[in-house]
Amino acid sequence: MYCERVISEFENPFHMEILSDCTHVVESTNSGCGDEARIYIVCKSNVIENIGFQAFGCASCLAATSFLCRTVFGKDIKEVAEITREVFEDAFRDLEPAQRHCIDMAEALIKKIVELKIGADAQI
Amino acid sequence: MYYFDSAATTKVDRDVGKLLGDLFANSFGNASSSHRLGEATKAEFAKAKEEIANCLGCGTGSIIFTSGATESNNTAVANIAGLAGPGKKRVIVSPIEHPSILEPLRHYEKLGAIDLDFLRVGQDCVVSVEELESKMGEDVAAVVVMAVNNETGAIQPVEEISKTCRQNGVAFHCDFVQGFGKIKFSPENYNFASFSAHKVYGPKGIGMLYVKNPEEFKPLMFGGGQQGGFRCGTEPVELIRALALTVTSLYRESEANNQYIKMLRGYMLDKLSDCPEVESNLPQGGVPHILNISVKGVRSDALALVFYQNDIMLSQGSACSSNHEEKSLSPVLLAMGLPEEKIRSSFRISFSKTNTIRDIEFVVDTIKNAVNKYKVSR
Repeated sequence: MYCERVISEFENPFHMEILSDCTHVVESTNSGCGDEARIYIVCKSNVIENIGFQAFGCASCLAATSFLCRTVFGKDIKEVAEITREVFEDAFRDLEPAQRHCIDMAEALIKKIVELKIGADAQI
Repeated sequence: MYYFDSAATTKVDRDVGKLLGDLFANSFGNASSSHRLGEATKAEFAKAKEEIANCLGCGTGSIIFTSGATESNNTAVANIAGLAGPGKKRVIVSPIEHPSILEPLRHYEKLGAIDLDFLRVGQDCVVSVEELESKMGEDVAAVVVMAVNNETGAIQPVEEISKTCRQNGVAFHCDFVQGFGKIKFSPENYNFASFSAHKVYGPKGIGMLYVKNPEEFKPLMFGGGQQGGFRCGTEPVELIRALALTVTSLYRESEANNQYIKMLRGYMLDKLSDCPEVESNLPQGGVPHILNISVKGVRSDALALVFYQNDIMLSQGSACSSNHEEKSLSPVLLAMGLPEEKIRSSFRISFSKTNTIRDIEFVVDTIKNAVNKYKVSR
C-alpha cells in the first residue's frame, strides 16, 4: 500500500514548516485529488539557503514535497533547473497508480521554483 | 491491533466461532437429502430459522437466507422493479443508500423498468418525511430508505416513513444492516428488510431478507427449489445455525452492548474535546457505534498512513484516484452538503463491544500527535 520512500519521508519530513523570513513562495494544487502544497524558500545569490513546506494532501503528496525540499536544499537555481521528472520517478517508482499524481505535483513545483528566477531577478 | 472499523465488519463472537468450527468439522448434511443425515440437517435448519423468526417477531415464512446484505438488497430491488408497471414506475430513494441498493436501482432504471426520484438529506444526514409525503402519488411503486447510514450513523425516521408508505399503499424496503441490534426492528413496518451477520459478530457469507408478503415474492435465484423456491441453492446450514446463534446473542446483549459502546464513544469525544481541529460530522443523533469526524488541516488519506503505521484500523472518507477528473469523495457526506475540504479530512471510527478504554486512549493520542505534526495552517 505504501512504498518505503513515502513512509520514510512522511515520518521524517524535511523542514515541514512555514519560513517567516522566506523570499519566495511557490504553490501547486491538484483539483482532482484536492492536494495542495506550498513551499517557502529563502534564496540568496541564486542559492536556496533554506526551504520549508506545508502540504494538505495524501501521504504520497507530503512525501514527494518533502523529498523535493530535501533535494533542492542548498542548490543553485541552475542546478535546480537540471532536476528532471526522472529523479522523482526513480525515488517513488513503487507508488500505486492512484498515488502517482504526487510526481506531477513535484515536477510542477520544480518548474515554478525555476521560473521564479526569471520573474524576480531583484530578489534571486 | 486497534480495530475501529466494526461498521465494515466485526470480529466473530467466540461462541459463534466455536459453533462454526464444530459444525464444519462434524456436520456436513444437505437439508434436501432424504436420508437420516439430511433429515437431521433439515431439522437443524428449521430450528435455526424459528429462533431467528422469534427474535425478529415474524413468521418463519418471512425469512429468506441469502449470502449477505448485497444479495438481500439486490433481491429486494428486483422485487421492487417487479412491482413497477405502466403508470407506476417511480421509486423514491434516499441519496445515502449503500451501493448494493443504488447500483441495482440504476440498473433497472436503465432498463426502463423504474424511474428514480431522490430524496434530499439535511446536514443531519436524515431524510425529510415531509418531503417524502410531498413526493407521494399514484405513480409511486416503492420507497427505499436505509435504517441507519453506514458512514455517519444517522438514524432515519423509518417508523414515519413506513406510516406514509402504508397510507399511500406503497411498498417500503429498508436496508437494516447498520441498524440491526442498534435500533428496534418492527417487521410490520417493512415490505422488505435486509440483514447481514458479519456486521453483528457473525460470520461472512450469510444474511437475510425479511419479506412481509412471501406469497407475492419473486425469487432472484432459480434452481433446485431450496427455501421453498424463494432462494435456490443448497442451504449453508452451518452458517445459518451460526447466524441463529449470532442473532439470539445480539438480541440478548444489544442493550448492554449499546450502553457500553455509547460510553466508549462519549469517552473518545470527551478526550478529543481539547483538540479544536477535530469536529464531529454528526454532532447530534445517530447510533453510538459510528462516529464520523473531520480533522481540520489534515487530509484523511495522510492520516491513513499514521493509522497504518500504528496498527489502527478505521475507514477514511476520501482516497486518491488514478483518474484526475474523479474526485472520489463520499457521496453521503456530499449529500449532507459538507465542503470538499471537510470531506477530504473525514474518517469513520466505528466501535464494537470488543474495544476498550485503553484502545480509545491510544487512538486519541495518535490523532492528537498527528494533528500537531501534520496540520496545515490555512
